[in-house]
Amino acid sequence: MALSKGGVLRDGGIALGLGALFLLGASTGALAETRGYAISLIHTATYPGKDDCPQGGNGGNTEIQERILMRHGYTREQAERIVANEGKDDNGHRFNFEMRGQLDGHAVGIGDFPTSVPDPHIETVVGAGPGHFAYGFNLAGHPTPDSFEDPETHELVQNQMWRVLGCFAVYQVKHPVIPYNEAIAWDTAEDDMPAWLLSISGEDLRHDGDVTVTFDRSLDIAMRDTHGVLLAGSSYVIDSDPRSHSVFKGHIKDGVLTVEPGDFAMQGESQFYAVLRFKQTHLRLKLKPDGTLVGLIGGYQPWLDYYYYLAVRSEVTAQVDVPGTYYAMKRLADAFPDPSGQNTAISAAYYLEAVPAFLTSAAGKLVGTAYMSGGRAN
Amino acid sequence: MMGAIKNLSRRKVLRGMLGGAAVTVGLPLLECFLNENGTAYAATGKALTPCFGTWFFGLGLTPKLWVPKQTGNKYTLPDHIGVLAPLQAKMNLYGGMQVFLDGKVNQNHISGAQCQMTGIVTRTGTEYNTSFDTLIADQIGKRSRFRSLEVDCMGDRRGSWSARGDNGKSPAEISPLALYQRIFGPEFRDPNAAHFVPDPAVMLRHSVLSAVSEQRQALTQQVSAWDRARLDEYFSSVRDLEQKLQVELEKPAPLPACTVPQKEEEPDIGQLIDQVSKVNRQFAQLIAHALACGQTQVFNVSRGSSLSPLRERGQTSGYHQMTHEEPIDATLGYQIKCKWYAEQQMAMLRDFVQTLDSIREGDGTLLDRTVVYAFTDHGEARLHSMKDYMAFTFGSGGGRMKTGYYLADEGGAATRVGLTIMQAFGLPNSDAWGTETNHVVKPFSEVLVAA
Amino acid sequence: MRMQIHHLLRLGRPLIVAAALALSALLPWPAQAEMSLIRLTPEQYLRTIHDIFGLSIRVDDNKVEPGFRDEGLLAIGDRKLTVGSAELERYETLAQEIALQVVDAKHRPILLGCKPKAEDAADEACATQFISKVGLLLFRRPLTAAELQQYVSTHTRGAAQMHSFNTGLAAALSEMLVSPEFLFRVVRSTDEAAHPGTLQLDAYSRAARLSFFLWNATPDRELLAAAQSGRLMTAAGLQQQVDRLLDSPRLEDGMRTFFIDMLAFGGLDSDPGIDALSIDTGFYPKFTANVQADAEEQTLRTIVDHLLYKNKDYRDLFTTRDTFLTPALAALYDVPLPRQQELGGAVPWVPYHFSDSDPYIGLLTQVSFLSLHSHPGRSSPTRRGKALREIFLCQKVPPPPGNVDFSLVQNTSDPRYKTVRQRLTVHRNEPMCAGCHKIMDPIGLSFENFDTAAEYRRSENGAQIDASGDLSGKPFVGVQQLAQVIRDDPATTACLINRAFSYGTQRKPTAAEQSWLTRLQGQLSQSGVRWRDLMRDITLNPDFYTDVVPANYARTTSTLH
Repeated sequence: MALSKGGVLRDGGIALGLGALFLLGASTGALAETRGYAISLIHTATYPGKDDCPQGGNGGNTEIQERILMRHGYTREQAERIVANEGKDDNGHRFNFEMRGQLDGHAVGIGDFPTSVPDPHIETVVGAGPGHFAYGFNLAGHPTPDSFEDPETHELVQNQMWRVLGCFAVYQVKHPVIPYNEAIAWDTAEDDMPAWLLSISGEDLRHDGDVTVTFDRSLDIAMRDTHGVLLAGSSYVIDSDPRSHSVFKGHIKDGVLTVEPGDFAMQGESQFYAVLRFKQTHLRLKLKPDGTLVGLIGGYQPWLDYYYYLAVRSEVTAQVDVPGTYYAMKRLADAFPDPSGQNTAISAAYYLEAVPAFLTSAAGKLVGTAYMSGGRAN
Repeated sequence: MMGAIKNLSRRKVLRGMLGGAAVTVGLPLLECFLNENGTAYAATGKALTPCFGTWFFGLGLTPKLWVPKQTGNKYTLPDHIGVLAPLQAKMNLYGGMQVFLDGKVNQNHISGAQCQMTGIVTRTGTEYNTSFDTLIADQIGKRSRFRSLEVDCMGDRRGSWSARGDNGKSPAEISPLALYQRIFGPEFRDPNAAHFVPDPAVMLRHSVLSAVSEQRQALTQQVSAWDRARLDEYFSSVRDLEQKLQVELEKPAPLPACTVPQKEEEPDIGQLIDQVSKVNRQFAQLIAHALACGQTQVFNVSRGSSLSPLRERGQTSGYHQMTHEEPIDATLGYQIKCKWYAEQQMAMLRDFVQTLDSIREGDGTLLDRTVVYAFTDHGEARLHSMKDYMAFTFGSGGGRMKTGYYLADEGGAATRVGLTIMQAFGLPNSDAWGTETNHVVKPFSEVLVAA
Repeated sequence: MRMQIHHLLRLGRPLIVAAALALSALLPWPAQAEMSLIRLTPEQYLRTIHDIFGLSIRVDDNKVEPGFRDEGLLAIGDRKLTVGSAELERYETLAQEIALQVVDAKHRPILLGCKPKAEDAADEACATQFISKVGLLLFRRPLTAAELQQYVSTHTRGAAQMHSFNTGLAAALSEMLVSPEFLFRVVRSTDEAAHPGTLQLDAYSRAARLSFFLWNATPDRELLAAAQSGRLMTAAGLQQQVDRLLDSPRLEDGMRTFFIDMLAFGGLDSDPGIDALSIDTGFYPKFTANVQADAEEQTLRTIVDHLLYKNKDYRDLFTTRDTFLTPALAALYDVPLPRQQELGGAVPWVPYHFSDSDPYIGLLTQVSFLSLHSHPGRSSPTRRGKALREIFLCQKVPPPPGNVDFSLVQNTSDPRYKTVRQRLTVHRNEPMCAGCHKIMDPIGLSFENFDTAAEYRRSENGAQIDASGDLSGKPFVGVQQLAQVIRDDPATTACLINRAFSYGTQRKPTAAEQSWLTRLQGQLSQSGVRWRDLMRDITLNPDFYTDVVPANYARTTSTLH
């Protein structure tokens, strides 16, 4: 119907105006609508509780480094002095935190070789069952001994990743505050990394009903508006690379979008997530009146993915004990065992926000429109 | 004390203190350089050159709230201009004045300022005549490196009210960094430097300009009558530039109060109050140091031409819009937001003048040998009124004016202030000034010092 | 008489001398030579340096004096400008920097054209060759013998003083670069009794006027040669040059400069220029720095594509749906912009066609118009209405009267004036305000669907915006109809033609010229208001190469007749 307006698309050719909006997916021939979005924020969904860490928590860089030094034989007083003196002891000798591992008699980096130091047994979040909160999804399909209660849905959910991370000071923040290490990574990535896109297709997205949710990466880098957040209404060309293409059957009810579990994968850039992957992906996104999406995405994430994310950033920037996190993740991972029985995936949940965007194919076809209240798209 | 160090020559002292290196640290003005009252160099008996500058602020003040209850030199400063209290003793406030249009169209936000600077109200907004600061510059600034300096704090190159000749206003510098480079950049000759060697490249440039100057007569004969004045101004500019290079070729007299200011990062230039305030302070520093280092004697500071698009961050309307649109508060009897904006400008004025006052020279300050003339475009901005003008002068110009007065005129022409200042500086032909009803012969004699 | 011939000979115009002699034999009032000065704009200065010495010469910021608008154009205001102290100071510094680059090791093999006998001393032969070659291009006419001698001797003095041929040559070049003959466009003309009060430009001045009008550039060698040979003074020779200039891609430069002036991108009264635009981005987050940077270019590209490459009618610029967008502009206009863009690569300008159901139509709904004539935090129907009339219809809107009593609109017991619409109602009902506001506000209100940042907004709270009005008796509702009315209004065409003529001559048309322009408007309205046709008609009209003696300098007519 729409393409008959004669907008023949050449190289950078004439693009169609809004008159040719509604395309895509409607094999039934019924009127179909696709809304496009660009992900404007993603970070670990945190929910710190007073009683999460009865031993006092793992603290921030200062405490982490003091403990590392004490495990290496320094007294508490010596450790405190060294950390206060930028890592230098009384002889001026600088302790090399990054290279403190030992392998075959050589000093090695603890990011690449986390097992080159013994398990420091970092503190992990205690408590399970109703009254112990963490964001997440019921991935297992049934309550498990280590389930948390989701503070929004009050369902019993699995989020072992939160157990691992939740006693580090950097994660003990509540939305809208973002864990600092992730905030920096996202902020930097935004300006250099191809945008992450999603689209929702359905018959009429103003009402409840079945939809298709598609994730893709873009060929374009995101633009910011004058407030520093992602510019709504930008146009993005979809990267046809299948490695970042994930499709879900979904449903909108009472303005909230959920999907049937499936696989999710999105290529990223180093210093940010090199790759973000989930199996049994769950989604819970609210469609706000101004057109933005806010909510949660989660599933079983290969725990090495997140480990590498931290290790690449280095201990000081990630603000965690990197080998400690490795050991804890390995221990608390709860799905997809390898032949040796070691679980390779860990339940996790991420906060996600997306702003309306126009999505186009590389051939220049409009695939998704930016739906914004007050905009002409309604 | 004086006797003991009287025999020291400037040279000896400087060498001894600094080992012959160029001075970059400020020295207090040594008493042995001054005469008994600290006003002149002992060696030459030459008085420290006075300075003059203007500081334009758009949209006036809130009517009535700025008017002191008493006149004379024992008046209480009203709260509306209370920020100026630290400067009251060195300040004169003039009120009750008018700008006369003599039947011409009121070029809103232009005619008033134009009249106070040029003495003339023109028919159209595009004409502009010689402003009196250039007359003062002719008197006191002939031997300066820069004839005068014009700056605008809001990024408006057309913001200045200074003009030499009838060919339009002089452009204003809008970038503090660029001004720094112009004054204190590679061509700056530190007056307190122990050594001085004239730069042969500068000598060559000077001789090139002289050759250009020599074309003056021939070209002036050829140019059409209607463009003669413009060509004249071009050659005046050439002469100014020759003068500037000449100064750079001579060893400057030491000025102990002279220090090279810090080179600051270029600020954000815009119309928001916080931006304008910052730029105002940076320009104040540069101008104060330029005066203390004898680089110029005359300056003009403005904040956007006439309409003052001054704005508060996050507000949809700016100052000018508010003057016309903000309702007068029923209880208080004035426009609340506009009053606030006016007080912000007074704070900027205080910042500027205090910067001059902060440079010590003998037992006085740089401000003491300067006169700063602060003036505005309308007596009441809301009505574009040409009545009830107020103006300020700060500093005595080296004892040329008395200070601490509030003088209430009764509907006389606002050009009286300019006349008073010109007479204070002893300008020839300053018995009268201005045209038509703005023509004045009577200065504010209360603040003039008998010759 | 004798003196005048000598005068004319010195300026080197044998043709005019002959004509003058012939004329003076017929008429008792002798022809009088006149010399006017028009200051070079900062852009013209920059382009001239690059045209003559090449693009690799670095010229730093020279925008000391921004110029002012007179009779609607900066080009006319330029006649009143001189070179002030601060400006000359800057230009002298630039002259040094340019001259030193021209003689540096990288440039001198290409630019000098000769090698000195010794590097550490003067060489008058080489200096003379260079100076006369460059002088022709800088002064837009050949140097006189005296001038040549002056500059060569500067070279000799400088070379001796600094023991360097190159430094001496740079000194001579910098002297030329600060000369009024360079910094001003010197217009030499004669006031002939046959046309008293009208000045006929000499050949070189014609070359300059033609070149700056069509290309905004200093006359090139071919044009100067046509002036030198006298061909330019003949109809055929002029036509040849006009056609050559019109065929060149450099026509785009001239067009852009003209429209930047006419559309007031540098500022209009209280409306700031695009560079100084201060839209409050707290309220308009989509109005990013990219949008501000792109706004002017979007409009210029639209115009250039329409008038130059597609050779379409100027009037259709008000109703066209075609434009060019960048991603930042597309996000602002709320439209998708499919494009080919390399990751991290240059941001492309993509041709875009708005559909008939889009509210964006023609130049008037582009950011460069809507945002430039707004308040920082909200739209202004009055400013937009005023700008439309002044810029596109060449109508003067009088300034607000002084001593207006605003207490009527600020009656605090009746605080009605909270919305734009309400305040403007008072404008239109109060007799003293209505006269002017009636001609501005209705136009501006039709734009009220576009906020300060040119984003489209639907009316909120169900309030219907009364976007009706009339323009010269033609009614309209909404911006689409307004665009059509503007397109069809003869004043629109008349305005463009007037502005073009005024821009090129840098003065207002005389009464006789105005009649001719009106006739031209009639013709072009029939055949199509096309840019090349308009340029051709103007530049082939002999009146284009005249100036007028200003009113208070007019000489009395001869009493000897």
